[in-house]
Amino acid sequence: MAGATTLDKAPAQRTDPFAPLADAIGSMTGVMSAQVVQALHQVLEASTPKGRSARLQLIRHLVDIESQANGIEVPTSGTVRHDFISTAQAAQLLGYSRPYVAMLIDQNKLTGATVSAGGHRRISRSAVLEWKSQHQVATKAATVRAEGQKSGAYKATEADVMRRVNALAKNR
Amino acid sequence: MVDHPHSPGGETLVIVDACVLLPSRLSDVLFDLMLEGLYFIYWTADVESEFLRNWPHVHPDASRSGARRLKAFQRATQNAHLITGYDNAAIMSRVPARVHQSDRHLIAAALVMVNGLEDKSTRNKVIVVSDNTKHLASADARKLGVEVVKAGVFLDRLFTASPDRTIGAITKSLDDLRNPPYTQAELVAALRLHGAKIAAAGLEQALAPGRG
Repeated sequence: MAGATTLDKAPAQRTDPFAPLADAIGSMTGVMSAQVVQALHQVLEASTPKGRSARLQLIRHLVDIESQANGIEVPTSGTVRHDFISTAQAAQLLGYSRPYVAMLIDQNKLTGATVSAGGHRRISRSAVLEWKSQHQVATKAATVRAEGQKSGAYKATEADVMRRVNALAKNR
Repeated sequence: MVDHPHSPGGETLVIVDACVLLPSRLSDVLFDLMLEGLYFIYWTADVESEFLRNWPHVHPDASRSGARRLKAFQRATQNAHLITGYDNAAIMSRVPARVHQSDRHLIAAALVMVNGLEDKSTRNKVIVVSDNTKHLASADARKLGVEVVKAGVFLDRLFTASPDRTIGAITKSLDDLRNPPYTQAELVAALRLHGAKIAAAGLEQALAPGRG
């Protein structure tokens, strides 16, 4: 039938994938859905490193929410696996303790991290490597003792030092 | 991989007070053992201020070198020594009331580390090392997952957990220097002075003539 043929060939109506989300945000905030849609496209489709980072963080966060809500073990694969790492992996890369990495994340010193509802932090590997290059500058081989010798740290006996330290503590 | 013998399978996280960084022989040993990978060492900005303020009084013959000594400590940790955010009201409000006002930063810093433990098992240890233990409300702090011990006790614990690595780290550091700043006997005496009787005896035995 001609009518049916026409219907089959008609181009499928494309729905903006952000539309339902924009509608929900719009109804909660009073912002026009169209504006929200536009903002989402702008932020999440940017071809910049920042845009990519935002997309990866969002993906990871959504996976965390969904997996925890349903008790699903998350398969780590592809881009997400390679870019986002746990605090334990970041700690190993940096030679730091895990709580120290967590502190840097919690205080926004190590940026680009996500925290799941269960409190597990994940951080982009590139952010960790960038931190490493900025903060772990190669130092001279001089040991603490060699530096101490140059600065006269051993002129006083340990017993004299202890007496003075104890005296200061008493006078606090 | 972390291999901390005092907390097998976990991490030993130590916050040191200025009073244990000021004695040079004690702080040397603490850094020997940290560099050997027996634990992680941390301190606070308050500790640094106290260290620099007290250095000239404690080391009058080298009164201007406190900053240089501190810099050497910082570099030894690869500049990953400073705990921050401990002055946050949410953290400070958890510090037990019985902790002395001027030492609250130590327990607060330890709580920042406790907060960062995603694995809350007892495999990890958060320890404040200070000789002013009476100011730190040890029993109250323990309830929050923070141990408070004197430097000598801490050194003895590390020695007991891994005698070979402890003694190996100290003797290697001394051997690496052409002109060590003090004799081995002086170091043994210094460890005894700080109450590390077990470590001192172990070091003495390891250094005895005829031992390898």
